[in-house]
Amino acid sequence: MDIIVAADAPLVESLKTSSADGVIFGVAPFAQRFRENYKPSRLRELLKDVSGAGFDVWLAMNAIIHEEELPQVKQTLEALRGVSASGLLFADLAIIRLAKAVGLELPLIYHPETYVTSAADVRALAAAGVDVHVLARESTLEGIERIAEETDAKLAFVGHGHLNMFHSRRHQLSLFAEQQQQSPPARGIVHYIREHSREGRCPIYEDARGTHIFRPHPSAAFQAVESFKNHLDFLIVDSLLLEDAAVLTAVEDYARARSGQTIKGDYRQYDSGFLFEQTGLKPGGRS
Amino acid sequence: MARPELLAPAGDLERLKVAIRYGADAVYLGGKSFSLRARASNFTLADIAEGVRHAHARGARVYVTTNILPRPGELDGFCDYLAELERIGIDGLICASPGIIQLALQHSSLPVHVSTQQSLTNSEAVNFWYSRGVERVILARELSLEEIRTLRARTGVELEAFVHGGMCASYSGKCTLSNTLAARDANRGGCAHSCRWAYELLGPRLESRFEDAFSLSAKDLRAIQEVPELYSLGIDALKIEGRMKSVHYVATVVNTYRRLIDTLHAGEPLKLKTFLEEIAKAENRPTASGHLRGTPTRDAQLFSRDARRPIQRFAALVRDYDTERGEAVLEQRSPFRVGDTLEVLSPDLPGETITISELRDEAGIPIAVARHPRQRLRLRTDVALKPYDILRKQAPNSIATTRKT
Repeated sequence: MDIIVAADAPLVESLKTSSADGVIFGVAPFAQRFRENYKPSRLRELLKDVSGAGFDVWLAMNAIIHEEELPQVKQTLEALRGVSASGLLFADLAIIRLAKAVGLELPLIYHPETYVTSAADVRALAAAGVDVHVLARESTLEGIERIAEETDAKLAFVGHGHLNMFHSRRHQLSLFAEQQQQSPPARGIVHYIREHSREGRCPIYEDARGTHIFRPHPSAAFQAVESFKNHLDFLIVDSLLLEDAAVLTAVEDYARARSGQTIKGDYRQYDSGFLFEQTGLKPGGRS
Repeated sequence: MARPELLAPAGDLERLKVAIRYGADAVYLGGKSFSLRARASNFTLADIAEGVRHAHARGARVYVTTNILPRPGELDGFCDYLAELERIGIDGLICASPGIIQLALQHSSLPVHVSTQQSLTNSEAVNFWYSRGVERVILARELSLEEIRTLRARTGVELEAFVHGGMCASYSGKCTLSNTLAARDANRGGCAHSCRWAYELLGPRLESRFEDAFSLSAKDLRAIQEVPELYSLGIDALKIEGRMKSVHYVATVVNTYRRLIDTLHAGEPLKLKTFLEEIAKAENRPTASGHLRGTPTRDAQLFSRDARRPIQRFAALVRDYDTERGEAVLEQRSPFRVGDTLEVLSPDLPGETITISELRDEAGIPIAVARHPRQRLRLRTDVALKPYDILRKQAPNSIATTRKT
């Protein structure tokens, strides 16, 4: 199980001497929920810079693509031909066709947030050319184990970080500001929402692609690492909304957990996502 | 120009029959397994068979939703279910999960429609599924008319667009707000509609408290004014959302869009105001045109000050009519009394009204007020009503003719 970290350039400098096995860079303007996105020309520089670190480098174009963006998506993919990355992470199925059309030969990593929930999904997308499948964020550990046992495909899971749970094309904060006759917040400025009967505040921000809302607490998956070692090929650590120091500590702790050592960080503010959570169709998670 | 299919929700057999009675070309419904809207009274296989017989006898089609994103183990029995649906003779499957789509394509000859839960927003993604053999794609509700126009020109697959009903605030099929905040699986049929809750907003720039709450919720979609353009674009099917909605809602909304499409197709002059007035009688939430006219403005958001409910107008459902005696059997849905003038909602009796001069209970005893929900009532009238016609409280300025009973 390799540890892959979604990163920006400053964080990568620190990661070079860490236990991370790979990094993910966002490709502008078609990555979303990354600390920073980079144009292909800058990505070539970054790739050159990290070439000595022995990293796998995944490039992310995980936006939901709208019709008018297709020509620019194609141009961006063309510009990525020949880069020495080890995979292209995407969410929109258009990328499969367009990458093939422009002759981009990077391995394809499908990360649609919610759609890979069963081995049937993995088999369907593998048949369409997907090389690595990022399992749905609402997967349980039991579900991950079962999918791994039922397929031979390469599997990844976002086990650490602020998990996104909502993406609207609407600019919800700006619309509210307009309603309140206030000026809209700048893009990327994090606010919080809280429902009165529930604990925790959910981070919310806007970008060019709409509004994103995250779980109230960041998630960690240390309790699952022993199982992940047998069932996952890649554990993804998402650095969005986290401090560099927290990310670096987590990376070292995942490496420790992977080799059976005791972790050192303080994760009392973290939850375990859906890995051990009972959710269902009725209140209280009943089915 | 081909006439687009009008596709209506069927939460149960009664609403299936109502939708077809009021002019739906097709209905969609969920079975007991593999379908979202777990709280809708989903259909058994026997119900589906009866629904298909009823629809086919009237020239309508039935699509079955298998649109969950299944967890491991939840696809057990899916291929047997497919075989049963094929034997029953349904007209298509609506699927969201890539695995379910692939299984349906491999293990049945049923036409496969890709659900809006896939949030397909461009022609390349649409053509990805088209090239794999699907017959229809139901477009994401985030598309503008302009985007649909371009997309239509770039694909040969059948395209379906939503024209009326509830909107997800998030891109559909990608939301886990309900999973997180209510432990209810949004993508397996348990959505708690957490996007419609009131939230306190805390932040460096904007703040609200619960009394002036922040809302993620969108107004429902109403595309009466956009249907002419969708029609001219050659969209193959126009869909009404709402498997949880009432008989009255289904009847009113289907009837309105039926008449709108038929008017367009006949090339007759359009009086959109009439259709807008009619659709307003459905007991829906406030409406807007969603993303169809481009980026939604604050007028398309459902802030607390807008969260009013339209007036309830559904007085009674017609269960039977005896032509010899000139007597209707009604089922009460909201109070009305002798002296009230009720508007008839019927595909056969546009603009008809009835003024109640005498009303009896099931035993034939005269009553002045129908106040008991679901009470069976007898009404003497020479208006030739039919089962599933609806009587509702008269709306202002809508009287065409009035008859005394």
